[in-house]
Amino acid sequence: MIDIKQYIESGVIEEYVLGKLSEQERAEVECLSTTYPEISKEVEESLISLTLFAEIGATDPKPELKEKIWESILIETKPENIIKLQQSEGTANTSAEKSNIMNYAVAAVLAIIAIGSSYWAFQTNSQLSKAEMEIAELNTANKNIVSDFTTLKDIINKNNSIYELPKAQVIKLEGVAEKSPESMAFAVWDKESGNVYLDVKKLPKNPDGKQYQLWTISDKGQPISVGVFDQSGQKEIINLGRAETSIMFAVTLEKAGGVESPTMSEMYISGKVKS
Amino acid sequence: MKKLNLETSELIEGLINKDRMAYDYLYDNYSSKLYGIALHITQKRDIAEDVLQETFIKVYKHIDKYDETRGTFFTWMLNICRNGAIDKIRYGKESRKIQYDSLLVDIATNENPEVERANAELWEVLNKLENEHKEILKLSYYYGYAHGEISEKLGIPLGTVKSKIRIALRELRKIYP
Repeated sequence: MIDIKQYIESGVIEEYVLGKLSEQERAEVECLSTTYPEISKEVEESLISLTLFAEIGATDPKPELKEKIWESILIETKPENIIKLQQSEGTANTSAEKSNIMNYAVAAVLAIIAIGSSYWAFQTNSQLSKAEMEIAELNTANKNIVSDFTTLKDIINKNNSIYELPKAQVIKLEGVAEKSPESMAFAVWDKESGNVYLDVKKLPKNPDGKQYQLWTISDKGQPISVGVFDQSGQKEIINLGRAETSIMFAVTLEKAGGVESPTMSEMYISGKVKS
Repeated sequence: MKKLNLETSELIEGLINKDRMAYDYLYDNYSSKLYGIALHITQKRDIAEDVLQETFIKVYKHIDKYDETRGTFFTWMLNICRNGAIDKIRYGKESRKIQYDSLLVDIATNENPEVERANAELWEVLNKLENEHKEILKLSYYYGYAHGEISEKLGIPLGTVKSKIRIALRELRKIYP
């Protein structure tokens, strides 16, 4: 369990406010401040102190500096970069046009194949008697139901077996109010093997190019990635990786493949580990 | 964490569009605070002016990097300014070795009246603090020393430096609400 008082007294918050921390350490402070009001209060107060310092020492620069700085801003931010950007957009358009032509060609070939095979199916089907067709359809439907049922039963059994692991601790991850209040999942942490399983109950589908990432916050307050996953609506519990120690689990939406430290504004669900 | 208010979002939009009114607002509201910080850290008017100019240019160039969940727009600018000033005195061509002993004197030189006046105002407030708190805040906030460096210079443990800074800040908030 993290000692909040000791954490605050370590001075890490002051260093955070002064922008002196590494990306990882910064993420750690932000992560903890979403969970512990004492930490977020300390961050707020340190920001006030910093502003206070600036106010106490405020000194007017010489008046002509205002115009000089404005001119230098206009020169320094000349739209050279913007022109480069437009050029690259132009290139992208040309290749997009090319790929459109390819798409049309592929679509045309597919259409021809589809028409051909439909015709063949029609010919074959018409040779079967109505009864034979019905039996075939019923058989297929039956097989599908059995297969679905077996899969579902397997999933339920597998899911239950995870929850029933002798050293498993279940942590409820609730939706972050500003991001996705409806979302919910259970993290099952097998303290014997260290494996962390995620049983997602509700979470929006991840957009293309993005994946969800599960984090454990270690007992030292450090966010460590457990693994990434897609939210495709499947009901199966997924094993994402291992966690040695944990005071909290959280899920953020990141670029596909995951990132080194969590993006706090993209946190969807989180839950404290009861010790 | 504070949410971005409309005023700040309007300001940012104005800065992106290089709207002159947005610049006026930014400069009129923040330049004296930023300049004060730069002046206290560098202790030289011309360098502080350079820092101020570079701060504004950086704000315009990196406006997309501002993240409202990590503090106010002003504290973001303030850190750009502080770090710019610290870089100047440590690594730039104007770099100088700060003699810790010289910081104990309330810097009274007649060579630079503007700096002296700024120092005097600051001192008036800081002097209300106990000596040990005053020194530690001066080293940390105005001269940009890292906590580890302060620990080395004052010969006290790192943990003590950090807790003294915390207490000093609390005291300062009491006398300058």
